[in-house]
Amino acid sequence: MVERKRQFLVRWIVSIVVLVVLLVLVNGVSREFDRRLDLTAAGTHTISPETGNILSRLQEPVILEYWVSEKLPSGLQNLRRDTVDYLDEFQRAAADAGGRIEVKVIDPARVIEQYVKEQAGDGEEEEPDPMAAFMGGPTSPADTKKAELAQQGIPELQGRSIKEDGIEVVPFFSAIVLKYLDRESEGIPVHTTLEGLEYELVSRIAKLTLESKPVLAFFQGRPDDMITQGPDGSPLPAPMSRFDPLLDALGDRFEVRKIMLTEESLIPEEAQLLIIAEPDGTTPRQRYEIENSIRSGRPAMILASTTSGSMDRGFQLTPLNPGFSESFGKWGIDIQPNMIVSSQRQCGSIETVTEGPLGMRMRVPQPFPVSPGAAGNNLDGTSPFTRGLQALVFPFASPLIINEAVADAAGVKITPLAKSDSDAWLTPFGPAVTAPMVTPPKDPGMQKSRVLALVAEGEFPSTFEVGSKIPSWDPTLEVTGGEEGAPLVEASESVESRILLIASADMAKYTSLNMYRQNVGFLMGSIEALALDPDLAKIRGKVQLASALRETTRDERTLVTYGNMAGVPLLLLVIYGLISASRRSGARHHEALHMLKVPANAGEKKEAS
Amino acid sequence: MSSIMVVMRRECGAYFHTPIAWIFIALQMAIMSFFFFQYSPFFIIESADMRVWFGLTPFMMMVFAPAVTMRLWSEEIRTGSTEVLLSLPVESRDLVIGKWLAAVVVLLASVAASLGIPATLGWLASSPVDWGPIVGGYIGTVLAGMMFLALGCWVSALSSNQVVSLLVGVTVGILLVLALSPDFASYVSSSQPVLARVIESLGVQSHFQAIERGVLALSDVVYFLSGTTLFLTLCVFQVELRKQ
Repeated sequence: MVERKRQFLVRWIVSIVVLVVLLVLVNGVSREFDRRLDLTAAGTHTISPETGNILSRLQEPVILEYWVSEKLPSGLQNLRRDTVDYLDEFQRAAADAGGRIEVKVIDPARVIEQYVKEQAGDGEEEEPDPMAAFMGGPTSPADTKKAELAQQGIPELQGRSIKEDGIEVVPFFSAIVLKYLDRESEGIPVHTTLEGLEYELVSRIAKLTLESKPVLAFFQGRPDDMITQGPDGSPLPAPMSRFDPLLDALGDRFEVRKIMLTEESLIPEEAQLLIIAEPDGTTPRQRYEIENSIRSGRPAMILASTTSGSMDRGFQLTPLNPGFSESFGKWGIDIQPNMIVSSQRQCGSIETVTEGPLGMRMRVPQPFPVSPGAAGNNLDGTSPFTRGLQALVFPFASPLIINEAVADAAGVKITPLAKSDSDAWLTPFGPAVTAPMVTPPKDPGMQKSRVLALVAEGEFPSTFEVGSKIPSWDPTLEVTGGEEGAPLVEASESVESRILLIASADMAKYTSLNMYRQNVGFLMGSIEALALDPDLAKIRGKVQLASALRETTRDERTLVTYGNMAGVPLLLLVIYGLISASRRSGARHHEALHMLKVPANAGEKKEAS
Repeated sequence: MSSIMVVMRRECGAYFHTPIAWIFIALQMAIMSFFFFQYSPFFIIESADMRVWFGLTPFMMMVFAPAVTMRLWSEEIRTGSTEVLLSLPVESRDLVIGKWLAAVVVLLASVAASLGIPATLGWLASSPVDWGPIVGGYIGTVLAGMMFLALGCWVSALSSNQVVSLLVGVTVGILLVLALSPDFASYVSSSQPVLARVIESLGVQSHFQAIERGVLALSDVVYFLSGTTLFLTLCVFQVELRKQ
């Protein structure tokens, strides 16, 4: 008996050990040859074919270094594994497309440790320098190496982890560096999410592999509008354009060429994107050139409104006439000649100087209703231009009207990107922002959501009649029927193109960008998406569907919360009660019929008596 | 196969003809909905997805799976009906699988009861809901649930006391979900990187999170199926041991 039990135990223990070994092996193999099924609608976790297109152009391998610490803070526990898996997938996609990517995962702690050992081995270990520590400089070889890494775009970050005795601050690294030939490396210094990583990598690879910087043509409608003071009121060494700070920032990635749109200063052939800022009084010839540029397939970004304002000089307003109504009208777009005023709930703010305690002058933020904002559901979360943005502010914006029937007839697809809140109203132009302007209208019907930015795509038809004279560079000649002997407009094929229309001429100006910093990312990202490879825009548009909630009433929220929390459980118990009662009744009926031969309602009668 | 179905039907009857399964499902729904709608800022973050819901799932499974399975064997052992059951011409393996499948039916019923949540999202969403991650979350819930129920079956076969079975089941669940968590892995990673990898490979959370994100990885599916196989085998062993 004992022997039988012993044999049984031995047999089973051996079987279980074999099973465990087999399971470990199967798990190991499945990890090694992992296959993933991306269930997201947009394929957020899958490398898209557009990426393959871009990677297929790689002549030489791109080295992709992922600098990541072994220890990561809470909330980023899966980052290392997920990123490594993703980079492996990326490498496979590149290989399938004929491109070459080399992925290296580097632990910065080991690199720093190695550096410290080398320093110690060379006898160059220095005493900690208290003055350096006081000045915030490196005090040890490890600090020196960290500073060196930070310069290479691999900064040490800080996160938080939960420990037994509270919160622990965890220093960690998570950066991606891309290297190609001997060109200056590109990097993602702070990598904490896989969201949008495909775009971040591919856009950098696209930039790395470019022989020269892409060219942007920049046309400012009011070149005389200059600034002479910095945001703090200090005088600038020389007057500069209000758009210069943005153009300087773009200079890192693009070659920006300012153009005047005159006979001598045309749109360069090699320009990837035409930016039109604050158009005012655009002449027919300029419009002709712009239209031709768009119809040739070159995308355009237009910042246009019917009002420009100042936030630093008594909120003065300047009327603008963008001069695009003839083109836009035929494409189903209209810029209305009014200014949008938003409720104080969803607008930008400005800093006003007020007198504080002890007569001190303080800067206090105040709502600025003539800077309507777009946030949450009012931003298209699926568009490559507005994906991932929390909020945007459109100073002195004019409403954009979309005429879908006209657009459809012209073969143009228009998508609103940003809308004001539903309480916004319109105010006519005035020389300055006044109190009546920002007072809500008495008729609530005047208040509604207005389009603040849109993207128009398609093969834009020409609005200049074939066979008519090409407008003269001298607009005065147009009054007398045009230039004599002027060339005629010829029929031409239109190529698919895109226009990003932003209904605020002031959005990209220095003062505005300084105040509404969230707009910087939008403008830079949009310019990148428009100017670089069109495939990049598609990759950038890949996003886990926003799936935002619509505006809900209190009653709806209560219904949903208590319906699920209490309603469903109660319903289940009621169903059980009914099933149980039905079973009891059935059992009694069965007993009455076949076993006891007593009337089915005998029990009830007895109870009643 | 037919014996498995007979056992399963008998156990399903024991679950659904008594209030056990109904109370279990109702309680689970109430607690999960409380955390989803009241405790987490569902109406503030305004995101029509179920990541918070599925994030809670391993923690709920850790407690509720042993609660569902605690009576499966313990009750039989306590009342002595195991002797009768094991004397029947039915393989121990079929008995174990039949009982486990009955518990899986309860799990599927609880999943069905929670379909009100995606329906709610569909009603409140301003744009089309991305159903992929939600379907992935449910697949993950069923896979993880199957593993936890297999664990509960095994633990139930260890003792004649249901409370002891519940406590041991919850303890092993805590080990799998909390002790072998990615948090703990990152905690030990600086001193013991290999151990951290092992912890990450064995823990439920690191496998469940990818599925919850909308990525169904072969390695994660294999992990849950391996766990289920292992615990069911251990349960068969335990039952066979009683036969001896």
